[in-house]
Amino acid sequence: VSDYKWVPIKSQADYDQLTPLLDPDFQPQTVVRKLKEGIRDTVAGILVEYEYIDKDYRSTFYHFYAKKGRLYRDDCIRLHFFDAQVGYDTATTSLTCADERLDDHYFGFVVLRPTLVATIGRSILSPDIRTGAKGHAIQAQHRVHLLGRRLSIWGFPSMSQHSDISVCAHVSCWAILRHYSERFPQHREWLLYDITVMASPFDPGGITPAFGLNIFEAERIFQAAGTYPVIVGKVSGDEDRFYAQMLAYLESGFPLFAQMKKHAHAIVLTGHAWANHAPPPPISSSHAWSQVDSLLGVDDNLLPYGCIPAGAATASAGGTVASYTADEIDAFIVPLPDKIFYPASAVERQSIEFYRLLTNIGVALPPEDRLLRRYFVTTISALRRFAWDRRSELGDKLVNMLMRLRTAQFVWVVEYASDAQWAQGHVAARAILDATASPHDPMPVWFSHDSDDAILFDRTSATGSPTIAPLGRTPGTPLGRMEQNLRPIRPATS
Amino acid sequence: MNDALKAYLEQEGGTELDQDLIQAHLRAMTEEVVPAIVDDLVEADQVAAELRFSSATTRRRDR
Repeated sequence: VSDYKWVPIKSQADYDQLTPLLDPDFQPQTVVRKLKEGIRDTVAGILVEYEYIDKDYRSTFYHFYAKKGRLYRDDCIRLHFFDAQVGYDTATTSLTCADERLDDHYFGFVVLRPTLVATIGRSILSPDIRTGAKGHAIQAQHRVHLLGRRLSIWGFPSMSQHSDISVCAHVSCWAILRHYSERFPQHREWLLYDITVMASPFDPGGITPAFGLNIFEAERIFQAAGTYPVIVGKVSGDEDRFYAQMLAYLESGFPLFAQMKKHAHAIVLTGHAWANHAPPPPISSSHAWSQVDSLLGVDDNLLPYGCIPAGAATASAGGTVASYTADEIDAFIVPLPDKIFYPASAVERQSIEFYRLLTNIGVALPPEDRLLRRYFVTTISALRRFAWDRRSELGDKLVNMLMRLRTAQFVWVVEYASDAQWAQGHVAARAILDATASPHDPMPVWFSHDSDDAILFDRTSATGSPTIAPLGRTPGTPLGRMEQNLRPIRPATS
Repeated sequence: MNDALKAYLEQEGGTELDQDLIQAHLRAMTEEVVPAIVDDLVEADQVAAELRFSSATTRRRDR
């Protein structure tokens, strides 16, 4: 029979109340230590849900733990996190909330599985309660059924590796694919055991995963799950291009499977924080990566959303959680949807040459030594949503044009800004590229605009001529940066 | 294709861009940028091939 216990949290020491409530099979001391280290003091109450049936643990139980000589329980415990507005009434077995808006006071859950070690299972936590988390994070809305209520939480999936049937790379693949199945309806759900099987051309029987995964096996998992993985490796002497691609895909809303050879470790990159305020690099590497302060990682050794400094120079930045920096990432896999044929590496080169064309046309762009470029994939629907939401800023004519613009489903958006504009969240100009273009296409551009004019590039014929038209926007109204694919983290305060 | 937008731009006073600028851009793209893009892709393929059998992870070191 399921049971529930409410644990009020007023200080870190109150997490110790959880220890006697959890069977030793759930490794309570380690769990309590991680919660104390990783959760902000906004959390004011934890509801312990006993005998919870967790689909991912059950998938490993049915195929692995049940075959072992040692007896393993088949039930889990789920810990739910709430703020100070929520209470629990034992007499009615119900959550109480003055404004009856439980979703606004719910921070997600952590499943504990009875595996004796590495017991933190499937978890969906809001980044708003994670110590040190800042910036923007890739998130999806997850539904949670609790005490007859249907709650929702924005977050990214995470869990510890089992260490026997799964290692960190399996868990990283699982987290990305679970995000996809929650975020995009065309993707099906894969349970953790499915992931371990998908890595090999045969059933590994629970032994092989313990030896670790290589990049090929991770790529195979993403392919088997119906995505189109692209492997990007760091080349010595060309690091700028590697990090530009990494940021481009991350800002497109694609979580990245990241490999660190030095640590023999794989994590998921799920977000970033701006704020470096470094002077713009030369035009050959004038990418906004120079302005990244830190990345957010989902590392199976930590609670999710660990803060990873962008480089050694920022390693002392406040909020650092991970014991490594982005400098130590050697390669990543981006599991793309179909129909993105123009890679980030091509946009990197094309956007520099296109800057020169716009400058020659007379578009008011910053000089090369003040230029910052940023690019990401989005859908034409998301671009139109941005235009609609920002219609007073963009002006009627530009909105009319974006609503009429006929493109493929996916587009690359390139934004050009001076460092001064960047600091204000503004851009000088924007270009919309065809994400389905061939890398051989000399003009993969649909549309471009700055504050004053728009240019339509005719992609319907080899001889089509671009047309430029005035936008008639209110003079002095800046163009704002488009940040839609990731959700801002708003550190909750108690 | 894009007729509606083209008509809208013309209605709003749109004009054709200087063909010389466009042709110069296309030449730069065709002769320099596209070959560099293709070289990047070939190199990226080689790097990926070398990476495929590199270990992504080993067993857990619990912290």
